[in-house]
Amino acid sequence: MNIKLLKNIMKEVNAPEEFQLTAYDLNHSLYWIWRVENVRLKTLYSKLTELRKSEARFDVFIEGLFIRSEDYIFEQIGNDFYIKFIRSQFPTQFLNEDVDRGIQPGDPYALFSDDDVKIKGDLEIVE
Amino acid sequence: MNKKETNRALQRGISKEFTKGVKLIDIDTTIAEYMVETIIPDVEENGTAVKVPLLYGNAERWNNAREKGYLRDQRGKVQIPLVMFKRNSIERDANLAQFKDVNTLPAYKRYSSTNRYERFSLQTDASPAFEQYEVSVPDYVTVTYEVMIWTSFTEHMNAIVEQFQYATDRYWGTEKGYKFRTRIDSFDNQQEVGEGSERIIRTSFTMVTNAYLLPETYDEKPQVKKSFTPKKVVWGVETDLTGTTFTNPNIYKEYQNVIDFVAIRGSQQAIVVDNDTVRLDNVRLPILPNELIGSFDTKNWFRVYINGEFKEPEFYSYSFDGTNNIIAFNFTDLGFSLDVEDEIAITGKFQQL
Repeated sequence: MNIKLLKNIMKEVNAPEEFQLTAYDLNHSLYWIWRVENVRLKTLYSKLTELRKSEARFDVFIEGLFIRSEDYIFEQIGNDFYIKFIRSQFPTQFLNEDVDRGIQPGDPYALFSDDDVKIKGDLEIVE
Repeated sequence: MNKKETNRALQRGISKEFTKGVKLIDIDTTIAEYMVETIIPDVEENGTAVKVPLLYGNAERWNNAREKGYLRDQRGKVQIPLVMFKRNSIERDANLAQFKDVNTLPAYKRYSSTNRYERFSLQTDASPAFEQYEVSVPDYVTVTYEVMIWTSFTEHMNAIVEQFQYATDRYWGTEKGYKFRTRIDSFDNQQEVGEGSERIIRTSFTMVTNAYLLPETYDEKPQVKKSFTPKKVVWGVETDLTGTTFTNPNIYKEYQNVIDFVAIRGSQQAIVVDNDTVRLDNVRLPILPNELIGSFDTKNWFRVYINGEFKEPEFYSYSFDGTNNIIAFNFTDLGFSLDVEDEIAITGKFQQL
């Protein structure tokens, strides 16, 4: 291992990047699918994989709210990174007393194409 | 490089400075430069210092000076003061005769561009290779020069002769160039005052220089050969008493605790214990390495989200139970009580086991 590899490791684990996702498919029966193009998960140095599990490598936020890793699955297809929010993990009855993004209290939770969905973590642009 | 040498393995790139040899012009130039820069003093004329020029006496100049007793410049002015010298003869020095076909003079250059810096050389205590030059034995010769000095005054002549006398039996040359031992035995002084001519003080003497000659190539073969001394590598014995598998030391091993600490990141849903306490199960809290104390932001060790909302570190304290691998978080001043329905997600510096 040389200094260059050491620098690479630091880039992998200590340089988080943030990306905005766009709605890809909101009509899927099981998921709300969002994606960011030309982005991928950084390759992690093999000896560090046990120290940073895949669910801890990035955080997902909807409208600024943290989303648990149990509520979505992620997929890399080609150069694009997809987040699939699992519909069944979100409330079927919106319990808030106030209207949120047009969702009335009592309605099922939903995502809309103009929602602010961000991802931050060990990601990089595909060049 | 010898063009006849077609075996690439035997070809060695030698810098031009090492193959230029020693020629007669090098000897003449060295002697002349030493006279100009070290021996010949400035003389004082009418209160000003006058530099005494030195000329090499080619055949025309020398004969002219011999016949007339002085030298005129192109405008017809008698050149005074002046020092002129010429090479008279070259003789073989029998005392230093060598069998040149066999003998060589070795020389080392301690720096070599082949000695690159590498950690391997540090670990093995390797000694670097030297550049070794085998220089053919030169031809030792005795070169005789004849020198003539002209001045207007005896006082000037005395000053110049004194300097030459003091320089005898010394090595003439520069520190970084050639050096040749030069000897002067006697000076022949003459004063000439002709009718209608200038008063001229003239001194002539012969000096003998012990020098050597070395051609660049002889029989189309270079007279300098270059080689490298072998690199020395000392292998030590390292014993691992820990019983773990021995692996070669590397930077990761050297800084493993720091790298591992930076790499550690967990993201896990916490379990609500009661209305102000949650816990993370099956996790390990890493120890902050000494190297990162002061630079790592310990306030943001964790990021706690309750129902998606970030909670500042002021709202909680935490403790680690290393026996059961549990990190417990105790909340204060939240403004509400925690419920089992609440989703508490925690990310940060903990390792998921």
